Amino acid sequence: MDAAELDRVRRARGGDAEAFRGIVEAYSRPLWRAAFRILDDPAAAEDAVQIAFLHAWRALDRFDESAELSTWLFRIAVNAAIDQRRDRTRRETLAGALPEDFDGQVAVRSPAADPHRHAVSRQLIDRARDAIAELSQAERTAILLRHFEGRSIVEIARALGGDESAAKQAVFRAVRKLRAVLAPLMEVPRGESA
Amino acid sequence: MASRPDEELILFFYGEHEAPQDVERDLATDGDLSRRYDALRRELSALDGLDAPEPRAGLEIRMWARLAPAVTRRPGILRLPAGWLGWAALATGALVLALGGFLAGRIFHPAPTENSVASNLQALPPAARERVLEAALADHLDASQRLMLEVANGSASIDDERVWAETLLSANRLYRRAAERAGQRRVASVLAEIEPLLAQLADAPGTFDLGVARAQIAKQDLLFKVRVTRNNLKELS
Repeated sequence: MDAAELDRVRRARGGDAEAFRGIVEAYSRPLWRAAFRILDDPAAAEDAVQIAFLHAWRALDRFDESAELSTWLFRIAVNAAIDQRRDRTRRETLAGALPEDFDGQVAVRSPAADPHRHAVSRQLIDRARDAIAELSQAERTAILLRHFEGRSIVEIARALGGDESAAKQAVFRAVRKLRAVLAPLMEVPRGESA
Repeated sequence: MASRPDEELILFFYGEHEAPQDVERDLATDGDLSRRYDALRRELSALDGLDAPEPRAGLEIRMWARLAPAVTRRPGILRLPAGWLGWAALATGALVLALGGFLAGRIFHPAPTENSVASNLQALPPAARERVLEAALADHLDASQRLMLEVANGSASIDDERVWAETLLSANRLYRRAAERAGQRRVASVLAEIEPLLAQLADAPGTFDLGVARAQIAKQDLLFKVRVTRNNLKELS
């Protein structure tokens, strides 16, 4: 964390709303993107980011200054998004309006071309989103930071509050679980195999 | 040589392998390893479909607007409301107030000028700007109504409400002037009626008797008037 950001955190911790506003302005977009990946809904992503910032504001006293503010906020936002997603699923279930989860399953089996390819792709994305939501918190943070944010293992270790070996293991476990979900849905083009 | 485990391929995929040249060499010569790596790459690439678009313009402004009331209320005063009604109330007024950064400005720093508010808004596309303003006015009326309800129900202390009233007062002046300029006389008139109450609460000393404010709300039927005006805006938010 650079000196300016550290100063901002310290001032915000002391109750300086303008300093916190600087943090909000700097991180709204990356946090929104992280939340969107989980929620696939722009408005819900904004709600999750709002909740995340409120959590962060109240938890600033507990923020470890040796950690990266960005990864700390990221983790809070991802958790807020996961909570939102669970709430949404519960509401949809209660309303009896759970979407047809396997709409795309028919498409996978269909021999037809483009529309189904789109459906398959849509299904893959939905499944990937579900699978990410099902990961443990450490695994989810690790894979989102590594795959989407391009963060190094060292940075992930810092975000998780552990060592590099634990961060690597979290990435490995996440990849293994995601592959287990995605692989069956992916068609290996015939003739490509040796 | 013995085939490399998946863990090494994952590290290689993410550019974290300590000896990438060795992996590249093996991939070029080991067909089975190469196939395994292709499968890994294909499956992980499927995650790219989750890439997020850019958020709607003005996200930072909207976000601060939502957060400002909670963040700028003094520690100990903030009571985060529970349930969706509570969250709605929390968002209420926030949009308005933070549009100009009033809250922070009034409490900690010199208040930003109307020009700075205008320039923030000018950064938005026209349709979005109009929606933001309309929704902000609706939120402002909700927030004013909630403040009056707390006062009328006797559930508030002046220490709790002073800061909130001060921020609402700033927003109220802006909206009243905007409504006057736009020829929306009814809206302007209601905003003008609640302004003295907000000013009174904002400047009230610790010994202020909230009964005076309660009497004013009842005598002028302020809650009813605000509710009606807000309902007329219902479709806007």
